[in-house]
Amino acid sequence: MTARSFELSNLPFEIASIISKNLDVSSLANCCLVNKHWYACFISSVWESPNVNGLGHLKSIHQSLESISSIMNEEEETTSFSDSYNHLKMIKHLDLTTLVDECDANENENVLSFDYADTKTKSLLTDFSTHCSNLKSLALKVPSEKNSSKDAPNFFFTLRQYAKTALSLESLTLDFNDMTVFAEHLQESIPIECFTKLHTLNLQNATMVDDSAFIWLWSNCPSLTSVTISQSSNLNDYILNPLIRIHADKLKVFNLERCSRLSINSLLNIIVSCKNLEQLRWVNNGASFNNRLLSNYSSDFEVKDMAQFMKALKENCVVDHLKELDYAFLQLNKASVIFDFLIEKNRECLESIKCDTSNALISAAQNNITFPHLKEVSYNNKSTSLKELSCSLLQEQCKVADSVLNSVENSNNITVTV
Amino acid sequence: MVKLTSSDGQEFTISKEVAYQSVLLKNMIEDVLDSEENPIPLPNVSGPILVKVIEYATHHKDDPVKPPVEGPRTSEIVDEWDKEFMNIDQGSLYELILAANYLDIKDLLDLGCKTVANMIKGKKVEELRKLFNIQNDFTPEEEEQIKKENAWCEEH
Repeated sequence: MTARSFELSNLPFEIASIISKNLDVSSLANCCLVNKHWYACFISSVWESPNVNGLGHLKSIHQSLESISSIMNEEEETTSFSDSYNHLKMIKHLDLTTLVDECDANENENVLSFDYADTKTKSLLTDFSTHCSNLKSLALKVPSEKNSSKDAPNFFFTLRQYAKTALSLESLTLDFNDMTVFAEHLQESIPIECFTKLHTLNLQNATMVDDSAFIWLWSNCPSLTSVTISQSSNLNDYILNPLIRIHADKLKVFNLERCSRLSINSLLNIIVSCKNLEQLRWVNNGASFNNRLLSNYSSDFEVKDMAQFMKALKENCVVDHLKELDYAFLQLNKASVIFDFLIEKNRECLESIKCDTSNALISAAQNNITFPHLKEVSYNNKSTSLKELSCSLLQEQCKVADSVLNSVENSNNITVTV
Repeated sequence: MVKLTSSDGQEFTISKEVAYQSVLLKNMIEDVLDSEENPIPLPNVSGPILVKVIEYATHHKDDPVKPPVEGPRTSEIVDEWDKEFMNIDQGSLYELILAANYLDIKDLLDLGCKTVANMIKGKKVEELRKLFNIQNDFTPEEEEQIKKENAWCEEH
C-alpha cells in the first residue's frame, strides 16, 4: 500500500465538511490555524452554530464579529486573506435559550440574571442580530418570572431584531415560559416575509398563548411541515382545526404535549387529514391533565358502537407511513384503541414506538408478528416482559443486522433498541 | 458477478451484493453495462485501495440501511472490526476516503472521516502540522488575527 502522507490540502471541501461534523468547536478553531487551506476548509463550521453558554460568552462572540467587521470595513490594502470569508454571514443556527437556562440554573450563585428589559442586554442582542442575516434556525426563551421582568414587549422586541434580518429562517423555537401572548405581539414583531420558508415551528410552555396568536401563526406560515406545541391550556380542537385544514398535506411531524383542552377529536382529525405524517407525539393531552381547571370538560373517549367506529377509522385514516409514534395518557384511556389501530396499520414503516401500554404490541409479540423497520420500543407496562417484546418484535433485525441488542430494563420502563 | 478494473490495471470479480454497497457501481450496473462480461473501469482507485474497499463492502454487505444522522454526531467508532480495519497508514487513509467519496459508499466515507477527526481531536496546532506534514503559510499577523476572531471558542 502507498506510504504517502495525508494530503488534506487536496481533499475536497465536502470531505472536510464531514470531518468537521465530528469535531468540537475548540478542535475546529485549532484546525483553522494550521494553514490557509485548512482555514478555508473549517472556518464556516466554527461559526455555523455557535453554542452560547451565557451572556459573557455572547459578548465574546459579538466582540469577535465586531473585530472582523471593522477589519472588513477598513481600506482594501490593509485587509488580509481571511476577509474573503464572510464570517458575518456564517451563523446558521442560533439557540439563545441557553442564556436564560444558565441564569435560571445559577440563581443562587453570583451570576447576573438575564432580562430582555436590561438596557445592556437589549443592546447586545440587537447588535448581535445584525450578524445573523443567514439564520436557518432560531430559538428564544422567556426567563422565569423570579429572575426578571417577564414582559412581552421586550421579548418581542428582541425577536423582531432577529426576524427582520433572518429572512431565510426555516425553524423557530419560542419557549414562552407561560407568558401571555396575543396575535398583536407576533404581528408587530415578525415580518411575514420571515415565515416564507419556515417549516418547523416549536412553541414551548405555551400555557398563556391566546387563540388569536395560534391562528395568526397558522395563517402566516405557508410552508409548515413540523409543529410542536407543549403545555397549552388555551389550544383547543377549534383552534387546532384550522392548522390541520391549512397544512394537512404538508405536515410530517405533529408533537402535542400537555395541551389540556385538546380532545381525541383533534387526534382523529390529524389521522384522517395528514396523509404525509411521519412522526406523531400525543402525550398527556386532554382535560385529565388538569381536572381542577376543567372540571366540566370530559376527557374520556366514549364510543357507542365500537365496531362501527373501527370500520369508519379504517375507511378514513390516511396515515400509512408513520415512522415514529409516541403516546401517553395520564389515566387509562379507551382512546388507546386508536393508537393500536395506528400501530397495526403502520407496522411496515414504524421505526420507533414509545407508549405506556399497547394491546397491538402485546398481540404482535404473542403472534410472532414482526415490525420490519422497528429499531426502538420504549414501553412502560410492567406486566409485559422485555423478553416477550424484544424477541418477537425485533427478532428479524437482530438476525439480519447481527447487531448488539442493547436493553435497559428498570422497574418502570422497558427500552429496547437495535 | 461483477468485474472491476483498478487504475493500475488489476482486475477484481465481486458479487453484485458487495458491489451494490457503492451507489456509483449500483447505478452503473443497473443503467449501463453487462458488467459480468465488461469490467467496470475505476480510474480513480488503485488496486491496493480497491482491495480495502472490497474487504469493507464484503464485511458490511448484510448491514441494514442506516437512517441519516441529524445534528451533532459522535466520532467514536464503536465497531471493533471497523477500528482494526482503519488501522492503516495516513496515505492509505487519504486514498481510502477519496475512493469512498468517488464510489459513493457513505458508511465507509463516514468511517474514514471519523478516523481523521479522532486524529485531530485534542491536538495543538503545531502537533497537527507535524502529524499531517503541513507547512504553516500564515504570517504572524494573520495568525494573531485568526486567534482573535476565534477566541470565543476557547470559552466552551
